[in-house]
Amino acid sequence: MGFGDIWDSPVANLAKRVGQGLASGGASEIFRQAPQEPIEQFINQGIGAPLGWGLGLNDLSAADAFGYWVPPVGEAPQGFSPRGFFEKVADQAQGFMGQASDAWDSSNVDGITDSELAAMGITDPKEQFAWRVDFVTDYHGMERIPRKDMPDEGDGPDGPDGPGTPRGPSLDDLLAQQQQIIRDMVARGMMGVDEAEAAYTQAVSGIYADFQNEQNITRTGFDADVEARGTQRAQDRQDSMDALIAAGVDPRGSSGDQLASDQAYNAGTDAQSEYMDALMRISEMGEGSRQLAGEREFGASRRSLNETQAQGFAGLESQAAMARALSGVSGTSPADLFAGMLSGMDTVGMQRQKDSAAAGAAQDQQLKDLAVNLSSGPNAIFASPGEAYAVLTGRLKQNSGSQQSFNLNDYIDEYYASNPGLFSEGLESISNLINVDGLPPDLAMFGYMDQFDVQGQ
Amino acid sequence: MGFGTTYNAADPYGGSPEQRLASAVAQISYQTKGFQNQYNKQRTALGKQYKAAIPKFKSKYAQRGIFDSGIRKEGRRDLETQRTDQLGSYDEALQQALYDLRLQTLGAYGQYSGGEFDTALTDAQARSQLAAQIRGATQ
Repeated sequence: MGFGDIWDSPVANLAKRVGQGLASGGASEIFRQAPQEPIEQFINQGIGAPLGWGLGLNDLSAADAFGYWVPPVGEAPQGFSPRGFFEKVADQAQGFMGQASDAWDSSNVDGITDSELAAMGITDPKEQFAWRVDFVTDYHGMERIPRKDMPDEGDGPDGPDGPGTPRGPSLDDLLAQQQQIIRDMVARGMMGVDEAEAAYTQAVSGIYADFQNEQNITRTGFDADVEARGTQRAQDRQDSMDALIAAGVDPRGSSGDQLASDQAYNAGTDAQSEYMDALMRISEMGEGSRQLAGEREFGASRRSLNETQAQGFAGLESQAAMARALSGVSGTSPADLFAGMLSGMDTVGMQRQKDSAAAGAAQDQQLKDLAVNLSSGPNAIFASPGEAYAVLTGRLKQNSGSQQSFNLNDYIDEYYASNPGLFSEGLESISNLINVDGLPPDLAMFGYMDQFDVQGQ
Repeated sequence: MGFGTTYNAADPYGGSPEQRLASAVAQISYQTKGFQNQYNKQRTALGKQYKAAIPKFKSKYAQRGIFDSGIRKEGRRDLETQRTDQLGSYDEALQQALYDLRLQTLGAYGQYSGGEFDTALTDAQARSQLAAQIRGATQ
């Protein structure tokens, strides 16, 4: 908005008019009578529904709004035309209401008719209202209103201090949870290593047992071979001696040669036996090497797991420390920052959105308070808070056509005429701006009205 | 001789390490029986030669009129010694052949078991390393 736009804005025009009135020195020059229109008409055109929801959403006169609400289906406009004042004030309200009305509008909850809710089985007005509240709440990701069946976890030592944020686990809780996750995974990894080692040990034992069995069978076979050859040689010796005796020859003469032959043969089989024994001992040595290989492999895996756990813990603690440090800068709780680091979500941005929504809600509450003020007492401008709220939030402009003209100045004059105390206070403030701060009358009026817009509602 | 840890579907006689081991053991068994048959044939042949040599030995010394002499007795002892030495050489050859086959049997089972050991360790390494890999799940 440029300066020219500001200067032509309703607030600026109002300031100009008050300034002119001050210059002329009489309130009678400022205050004028403004026409009153039956405001209930616009409610009966269907815009009362979102109005009622809005009021109910903000816990202001929800029952009253429901009282005004008329289903829009089949209802034709009643010829009601919004007044210029409503449009202009609504523009201003829309400007500083900003997020509150935007939140409502962007949710498109206005487009959900009562008949559609009825088709969903929601016919009770209170249930429909609750549904719409939930809809808008979900749409904007806002915190839900705590329900009785939802336990309040309360704030922890590291709980958030931001506005309107019911709290989950604290940073210490989150850190402990993440550490426990790593601890559990490491424990499962250790179990996996143990299982792998057990499977390896069992497999190796089975293989080695089979191999040993085959070795023993071979060794036994070798012994049987040697024994069989020895038996055969003894039999051959005996046959030979029998033959010599039968031939009338003393067999003792050849015993020396045979003895030498047997010694040579037995030396050969002894060497064979020793070599085979050596092979079997070597295989037993291999069994020890396999056990060492297994211990080396599984020990390395266990060390890797322990290292992983240590690194994971260190990383988590580092992130937690950063979350604590950044919390003071960002205004987001350490727990939320920590969760964002773990999940990759922009919790700072989310916090800002929530803060903005809360600020919008606060502004909305100011509007509702103003709506109550403008619709109460003998000098009320509006017939009801709901009507005033609708005007202030700009819904009248959105939902009705302009068929009648309305003089903004008349309404302003009327308002100040009906609130002489406010007018006196305004005069004093404007005088201070002019005389103390040295502002020209127009700017002094603009500044005063701007202050009124922000703080006086 | 190595049986490895791989499977070869193209070899109907050696598709798996177990098949290759069984084939090797069967070949060793076949060779064992072959050596034993050869041993028996040699002994049978020697027995025939011995039976044929005894009458000739007697007639040779009888023709020379020295049948009942120390020379014949010495010759007879030599003949028996030669026979037993020959039989002993058959035993020694068979024993050596059987021993070599026993060693081959040990080698075959050793190679097979080594492949199994390697497979067990490789599988255990894979399982152990997989169990130790939790970084991707935590970071």
